[in-house]
Amino acid sequence: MIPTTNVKAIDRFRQIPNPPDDLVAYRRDIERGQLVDLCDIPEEYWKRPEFYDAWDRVKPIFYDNPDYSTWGVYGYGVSPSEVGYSVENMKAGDSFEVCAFFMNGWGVWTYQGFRLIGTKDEYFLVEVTPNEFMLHPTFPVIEYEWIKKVTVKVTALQDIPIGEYHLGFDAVSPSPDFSRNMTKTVLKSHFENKEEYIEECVEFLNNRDQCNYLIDMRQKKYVDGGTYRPANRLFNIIVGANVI
Amino acid sequence: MRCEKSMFSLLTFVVIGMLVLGLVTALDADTPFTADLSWIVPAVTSFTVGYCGAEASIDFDTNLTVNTADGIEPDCQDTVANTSMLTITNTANQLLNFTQNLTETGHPEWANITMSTINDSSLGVEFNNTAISIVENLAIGGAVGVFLWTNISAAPAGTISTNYSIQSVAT
Repeated sequence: MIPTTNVKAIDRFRQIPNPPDDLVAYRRDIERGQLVDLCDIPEEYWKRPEFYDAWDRVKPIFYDNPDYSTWGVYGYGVSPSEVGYSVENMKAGDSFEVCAFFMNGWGVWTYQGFRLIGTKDEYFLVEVTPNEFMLHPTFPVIEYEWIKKVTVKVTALQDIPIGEYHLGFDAVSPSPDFSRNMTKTVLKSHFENKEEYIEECVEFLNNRDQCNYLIDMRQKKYVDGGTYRPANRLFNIIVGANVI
Repeated sequence: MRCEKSMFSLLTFVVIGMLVLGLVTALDADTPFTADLSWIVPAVTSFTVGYCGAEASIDFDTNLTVNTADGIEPDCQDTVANTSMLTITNTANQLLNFTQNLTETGHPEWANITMSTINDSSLGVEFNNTAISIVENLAIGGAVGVFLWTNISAAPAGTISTNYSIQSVAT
C-alpha cells in the first residue's frame, strides 16, 4: 500500500556503523575477485547492507514500501555462497580458513537461532566458528547483530590426492537448550521505539488499532531458524587439490 | 602445504579443471604450480517468508470449532480478503523454484492439508511428506502468497503439531 501521509522516516541504520567512504570500492573488488580475503575486512564494511548486492533488490521491497500486513518471520543467507580454494601438497593435519557472512533475512522482524554444521568426509573436516548463535532483526531497523562473520576451518584428515572436493556447511535449528535460553533472553531485552514503528505501520495500513496490535505481537519474538532453506548446500567450498 | 586464494574466472576454472583431470602433470622447479584462488560468483538461493498479521506459526485453531469440517483456514488467513497465510519473497539473485512438504510425522490420519497460490480452496493441492511445487521461476524480488486449508474428520481433542518445510531451488 502506498502511504497517504508523510511521517518522519525511520532511520533503519541507526544501530549499525556508518558506511566507510570506500565501501563501494571494497564491494567492487570483491565482486570482481580482486579481494578474496574476507577475514580481515573491518565490520564497518560487512555490517552495512550496501556491502551486499542483494540490498539493491530488497531495499525497495522491504524498506521503502514495507508491507506491515505481513510479518517477516523467517529467512537467512550467506555471502559469499561459494568459494574456490586451491591447495597443493596438503597433508594430514594441514588446514586453511575462509570467512563468510551469515545474515538474518531481509525484512525479518524476529530473532532467529541457527546451528551451522560443516561437512565431513574421509578427506576433510569442516568446522565453523561460531557454530550456534542468534541473529537480530533486520526490520524495522537493521540491528547491530543482524549478521555474523563466521570462520570456516578446513582440516585435512589424510594426505589429499589430486582432485576436486566439494565441502561447506548448512544451517539447521539450534539445540533445544539454546532455543529455550534465547527465548528468555529476547523477552528480557529492551524494546525501543514502539511508537515510531506504530506510526510507520499506520502510515501504510491506515488502522491504528490494528497497528497497535501488530507491533505488540511482533516485538521480542525468537524463532528457530533453518526450517525454510535452500535445497542445495548453503555455503560451498570447492577445493582444487594438487600434488607435486 | 601451500594455499592461495584467487577469483574463479572462467579461465582459471578451466586450468584447475585440467589439473583435476590429470592433464597437467609435468610440475617441477621449472614449471611451478601457480594456483589461483577463486571466489566463484555466488549463486544465492535466499528467500524471506512472511506470515500473515501477527502469526509466527501456522495454526488451525481459531477456526476449528467442530471435529469434522472442510476447508478450514489457518488463523489470520482470509480467502475473502485475499490474505494469504504465507508470503514468500525471492531475495536471491536468480529465478527460484519453491517446494513444500510436511516433515517427520506428516499430518494425522484424521486430517489432510491442501495449498494453493490462488485464494480458492477448490484449487488446493493436497500434500504430506513428499515435496510438491509451490511456484516455479519466481522472479528476482518477486513474491507469491501461499494459501493453506485443512479438512478434518472426527478429530480428537488436543493439540497436534507437525513440521512444515519450504525449500528453494535455483532454476
